[in-house]
Amino acid sequence: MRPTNAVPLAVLMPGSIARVVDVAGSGAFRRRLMDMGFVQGASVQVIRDAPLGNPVEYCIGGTHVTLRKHEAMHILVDGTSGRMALRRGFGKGFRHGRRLGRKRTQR
Amino acid sequence: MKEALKTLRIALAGNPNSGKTSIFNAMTGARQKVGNWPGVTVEKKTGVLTYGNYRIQVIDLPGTYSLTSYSVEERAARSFIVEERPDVVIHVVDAGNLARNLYLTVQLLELGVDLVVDLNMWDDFEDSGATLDRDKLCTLLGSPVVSTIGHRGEGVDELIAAAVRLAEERCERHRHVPISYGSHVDDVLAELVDVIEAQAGLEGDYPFRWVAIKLLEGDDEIVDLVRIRAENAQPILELVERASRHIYNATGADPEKVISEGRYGYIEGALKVSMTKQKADRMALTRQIDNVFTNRFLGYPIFFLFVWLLFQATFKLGSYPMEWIDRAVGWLSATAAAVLPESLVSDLIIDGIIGGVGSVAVFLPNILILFLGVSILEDSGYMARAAFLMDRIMHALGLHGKSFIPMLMGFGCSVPAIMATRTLESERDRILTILLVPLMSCSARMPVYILIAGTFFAERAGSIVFLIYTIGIVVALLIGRLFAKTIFRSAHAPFVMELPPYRAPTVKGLLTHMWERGRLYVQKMGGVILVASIILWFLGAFPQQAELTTRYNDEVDRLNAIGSVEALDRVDELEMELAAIRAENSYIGRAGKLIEPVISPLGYSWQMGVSLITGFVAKEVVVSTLGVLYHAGEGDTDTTLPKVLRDPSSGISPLAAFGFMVFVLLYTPCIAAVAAVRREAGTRWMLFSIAYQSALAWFAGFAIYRVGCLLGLG
Repeated sequence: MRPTNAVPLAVLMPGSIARVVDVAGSGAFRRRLMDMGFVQGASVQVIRDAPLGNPVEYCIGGTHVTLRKHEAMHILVDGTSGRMALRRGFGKGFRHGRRLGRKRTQR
Repeated sequence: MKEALKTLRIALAGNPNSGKTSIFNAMTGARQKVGNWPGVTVEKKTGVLTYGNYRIQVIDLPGTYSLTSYSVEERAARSFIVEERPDVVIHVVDAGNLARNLYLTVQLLELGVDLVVDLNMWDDFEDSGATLDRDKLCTLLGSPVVSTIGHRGEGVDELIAAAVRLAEERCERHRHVPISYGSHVDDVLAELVDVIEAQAGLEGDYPFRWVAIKLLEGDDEIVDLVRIRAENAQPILELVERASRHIYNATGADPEKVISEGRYGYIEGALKVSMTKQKADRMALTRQIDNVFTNRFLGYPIFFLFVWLLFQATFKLGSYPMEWIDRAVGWLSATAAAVLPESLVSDLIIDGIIGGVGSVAVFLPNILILFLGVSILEDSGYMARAAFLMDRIMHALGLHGKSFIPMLMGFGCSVPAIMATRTLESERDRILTILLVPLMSCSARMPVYILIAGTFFAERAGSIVFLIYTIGIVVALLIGRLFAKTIFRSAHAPFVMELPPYRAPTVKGLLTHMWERGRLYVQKMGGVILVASIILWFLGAFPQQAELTTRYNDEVDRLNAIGSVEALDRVDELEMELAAIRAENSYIGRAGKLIEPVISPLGYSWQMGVSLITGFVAKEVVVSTLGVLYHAGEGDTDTTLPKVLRDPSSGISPLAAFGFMVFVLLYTPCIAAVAAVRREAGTRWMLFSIAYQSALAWFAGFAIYRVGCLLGLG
């Protein structure tokens, strides 16, 4: 039932705003995300990356929370929103949000 | 005649960062008791107050976002509510963030508790320009709604009054309206409730509708409960199975998700009709501060500045009062020695009791200063930012960003560092951090390194000591990863951490916290450390060897009477000899010799074995024990400890000496640290910690010595 235009939250650049369409994963992990407000329809804003690239600060429902990138991969957002930009390097090998993290560390 | 007080029990629930602690403090004042929830190391605080003719016991539940069975904190909170049935539950809500906070309110309502909703930090809410129709929210939630400003204590009396009134009335007006999760779930729920009701064995503590919801959510604890308690669980579980499939087919999502969304939907609806939007963004200032504090370039320098200040304050500033305590203890011993006639009892009082009390008191300045600092970091909201900055690095050790501060404090002293792990919310992170903190080389181990490295590696001593510290960090990294992948594998929780708005800490809040930690240390750990110190003194002083001592003393008296230079030199020699013989023949000395077969493969002499055992009191004692056992003199004679140790007759090679330093680095730090581990993590983890560290130290010492010998370094 996932919309085809959904993208993982982890690939959004800081400054982007998007709507949550689905939270993947299971058990304690997914539940914790839902308890913090990551549910379908919620609006989430990417605030900033930590200086070492991980974790990332998000604003969800008026609360600022942090997530590691590989965790934010489980949150799918609507990819058609106007106010968003995708991170460079999104594509092959990104699957665990690792590549991006490493790139930023080298800076 | 005075009427007997009736007892009420009120539980405080709420999210972390909702100001629950300040409400608790305002309600109960200083009359608090700190303990643990049964079976887990989650802190449980209770307090007492009198109101009218009620004696009210207030129980502070762990701060949680939800009431699932996924975390120990949430399980502790909900099992208290379900099993202990407090008369009233007060839910402390951050008024500035109603949507997220009311999510827990809804779950409390599902549990069917008598609930008072406390809109805390009401000043922030009003400043933001929003308005709230409290009566309407009250009707929608079916619970009284009160507003408070916790850190100023405003509205707390009204809050207590509302809770008491609710307990007295339990009036119909406050019967809760069941929350709707959408027609698909609601229909299924009604059916499920009927089936559960029809089964014998489930009536009692658990509201049926709540059980039904939890079953649909797939809550392990409740599924097990039904299996155990219901006479016939089969029809219930079959229906749950069928209902879940039905919900999935109708909505495209599993029940847990649909129910969560239902709760948010209910809250959104309630707030839509009762609240007007906030005009000012309450996070605006916070965002600006964060632009600096978590800035790519400034973030770390600022962080390290704060941490440096904290470290300096704790251990440098703390060293002054520590010195005063040391001097006071010294003065006390001297006075006691002068007043009391020399006997076994006076020895016990002077060396055992006064020394023991001194060893407890000496940590107090560190603990108080550290916790003042930690409270400032926590209450202001900076601690979460520190964790945000450090998480990338700490995650490599299998730890949480917040573990950094305790780990760093470990370089000063393991005792306050272990106590500082309380800032970590999850039990898994806390225990893992507690297990790793002692690997950070504490300052008490420094005298050992200075002696050994200075003796055996003279000009390279600095590099060697640095190497020892590095080994500690590397071992912590490896062990952290190992434990994270083995013992703590199942309990991985996501790094979902709230970054709360910055707030100015209140003096009262800081002092309360500092006082609480200090008291906890003295009460819960002081006794253990004192008793252990006395026992170790006993083992060091016994058996008495009175005859030997008398013989030596007679000889000393005779030589003193002669008074020539040679005679006095001989007196010094005799006294050293006596001390060494007594130490060797004491129970500790015998134990040291007993373990000789264990430590000789590591290349250590029996004297080193004894010093490792006495080092259990405190690491500095290793040095003084070696001094006694090797007949070391003071000043610049031929018999100073370094010279004696370097002499081939000591039986210590440089390689073994290096291994010895690593052993001292890795094995159980001291009795006080062990007491701290027991206090914070429980007896089982304490035993584990002692066992793994001793094993680690032995294997490391063994590997260094044996590999070194093979390489021809011995």
